[in-house]
Amino acid sequence: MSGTVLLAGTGTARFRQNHQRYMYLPAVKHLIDEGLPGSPTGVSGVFEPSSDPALQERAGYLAQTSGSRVIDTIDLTGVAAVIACPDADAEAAGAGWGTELLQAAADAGVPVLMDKPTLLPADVLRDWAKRFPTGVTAAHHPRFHPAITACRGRIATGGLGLLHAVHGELLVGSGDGPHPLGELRNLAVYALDVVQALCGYPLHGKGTAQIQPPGPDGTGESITISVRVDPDVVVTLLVGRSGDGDADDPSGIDQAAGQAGTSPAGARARAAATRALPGTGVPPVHRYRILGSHGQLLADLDSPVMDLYTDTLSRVPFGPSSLDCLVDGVIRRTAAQPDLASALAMADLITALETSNAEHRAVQF
Amino acid sequence: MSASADPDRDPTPTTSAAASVTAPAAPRVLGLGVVGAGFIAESHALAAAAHPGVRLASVYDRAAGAAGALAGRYGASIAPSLEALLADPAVDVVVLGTPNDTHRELALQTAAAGKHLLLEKPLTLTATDAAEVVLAFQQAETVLLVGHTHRHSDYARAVKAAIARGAIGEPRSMRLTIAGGWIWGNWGAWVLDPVRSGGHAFHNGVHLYDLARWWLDSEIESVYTLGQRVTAGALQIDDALTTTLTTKAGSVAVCEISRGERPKNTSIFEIVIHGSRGSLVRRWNSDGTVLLADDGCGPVPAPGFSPFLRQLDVLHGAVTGGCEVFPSPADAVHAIAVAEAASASADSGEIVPVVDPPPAPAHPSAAKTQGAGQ
Repeated sequence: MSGTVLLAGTGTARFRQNHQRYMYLPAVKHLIDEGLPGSPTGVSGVFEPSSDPALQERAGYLAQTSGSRVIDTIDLTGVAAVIACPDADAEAAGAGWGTELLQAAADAGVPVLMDKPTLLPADVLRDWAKRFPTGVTAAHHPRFHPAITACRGRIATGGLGLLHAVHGELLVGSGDGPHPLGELRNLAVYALDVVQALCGYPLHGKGTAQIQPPGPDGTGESITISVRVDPDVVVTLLVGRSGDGDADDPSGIDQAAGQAGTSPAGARARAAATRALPGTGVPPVHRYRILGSHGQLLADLDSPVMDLYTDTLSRVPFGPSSLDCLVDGVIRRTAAQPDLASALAMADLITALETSNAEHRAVQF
Repeated sequence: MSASADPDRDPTPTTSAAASVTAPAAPRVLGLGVVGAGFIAESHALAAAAHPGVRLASVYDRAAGAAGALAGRYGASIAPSLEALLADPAVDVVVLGTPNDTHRELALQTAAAGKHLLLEKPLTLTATDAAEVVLAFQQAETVLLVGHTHRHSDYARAVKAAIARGAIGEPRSMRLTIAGGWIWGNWGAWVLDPVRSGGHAFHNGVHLYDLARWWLDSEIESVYTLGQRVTAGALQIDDALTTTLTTKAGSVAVCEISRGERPKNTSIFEIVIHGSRGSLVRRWNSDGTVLLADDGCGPVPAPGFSPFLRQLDVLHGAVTGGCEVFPSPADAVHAIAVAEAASASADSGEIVPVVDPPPAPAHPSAAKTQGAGQ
């Protein structure tokens, strides 16, 4: 189980997201620093066969800061897990390496963590979900947040009775800016996945989504989802992005999760972020109110954290972040879900919600 | 804690400092006639006792014992009938706190008697009836103020002020939740009868719809409602109602009102306003105190200024000084139109447009009963 991590791919250049740098490498470093039995021992390499200068620059930075090197062939020797950020554009054009990587990992029995599958072309995701039903985990990290893990445990054992509603907000700062494929696919997918994790089964039902387009000042979309999930769980989610974004802005949910954690560097980065003014680096509003027939849970994902009062108010996080938990779970093979089939179902749900917004009507999903 | 969970009361209890918001000294003293001596009447009576320009003059209730108890506590007389109260020259203003299905008829009687009216929400159970009542008061040249009391509360004013000063940029979406446990008595309670109460959208939902319309500064164009009967499947009304409002400006509000939560004395009061430059969030422990006790767990509302006193002061200003009432009757009518659409959406499972009744014809006294208020 113990071994290194292979960082495969550096994303899609036009997406502006650089998740290997801001999310996964920091989480891997947290785990290496913790040094617990079974934790990763290092980064084996950065696989980036693309000649795109932007992607090569990303790969070079990752290799330099992880003490590894850029490689253009897949090598899984001694690798405990692969973290994959495929280039959606290359995969859409049939020029990607995703299928080759997933096959190699399946053959070697190495688990793969796949960055936001809902941003992939639908036919690519459908094909991968069919060919690789196990061994690949969608990187929907908020469901691995310690607060959500605690809620899931309570719900699964009947501690709330039967669920009747979940209401949540995922409101981020400018982060890395509005996503070109829309925040329903990029951001709301996290909140929907949390709901799915809390319910414990695939989401089907009826409802609406309303999407306010990006503002003229470059601010992101605002999304309101109101649905009834079978058999009778009312779900409302407010999702949105304020400000116009910066790839290095730590206020996005992914960057914040990447910088959180127990390491001093992570704590400092998070504290710096939380001292910033609104729109320039505050942590996300990310919380869920979970209502059951016999009680309710209030989960605030801006936690676990302590307040630090000096000349300014800042925060001192403690414990693992959602990303730490996800990466650790993939390496230890305890995080098989959500798999690609789950991600595909989520992509179909998002497509239905896009239809609701476009046609201003309630839709079945 | 349980009392504050009721949306008919402002979520914040009041302090003795409330008198600091009252009108200037020596105003004209108005006589208040309370019709319906239920629990909300006590809040109005307390406000009258704190306002130097108002006194509780008379009380009428079909249950004579309830009327006597309230009148006795505040030194008022007991009216033997509604007609007697409406004919009493000591009564300038009627405060109507009766079951919702009586509002139209009693309001029209009040207008016909030439009295001013503070009418507990909902204004009526249809928008058409609401417009009829508003017109009656315009024609009578008397003041009508509908008790959307939350607008006068500390929290609601703070939200409005923050948005107005651009703290979050352009408001784009919001959540407003007032969710608690069961307080509606047994199966015979009139609130549980959809014919008498109109259901949850009318009985409590109008508070939230009115606030959303005010905060977002745009009328509601369409609604989508998800209703549930959490406490018992045999209920004839939804005890948990989540309504998503879309304004003409394009902003969206999720309004959640519930009496079906557990534990029974839970009190969740939540506000999130998301804007183009930031978000305004009322945290679950924003009031600063959390109770963990055998008889309850949860946030404890912090005392604040009385919204009932502020509301009464608005009414006093309108009656004695010709000031505009706040919220305007037009806003109250709109809240009813939204509640109608919300109920229809809960029944159909579809998005329903809000249909406002035609505006009442202009009248010379319109300045008294129409206006944007604060």
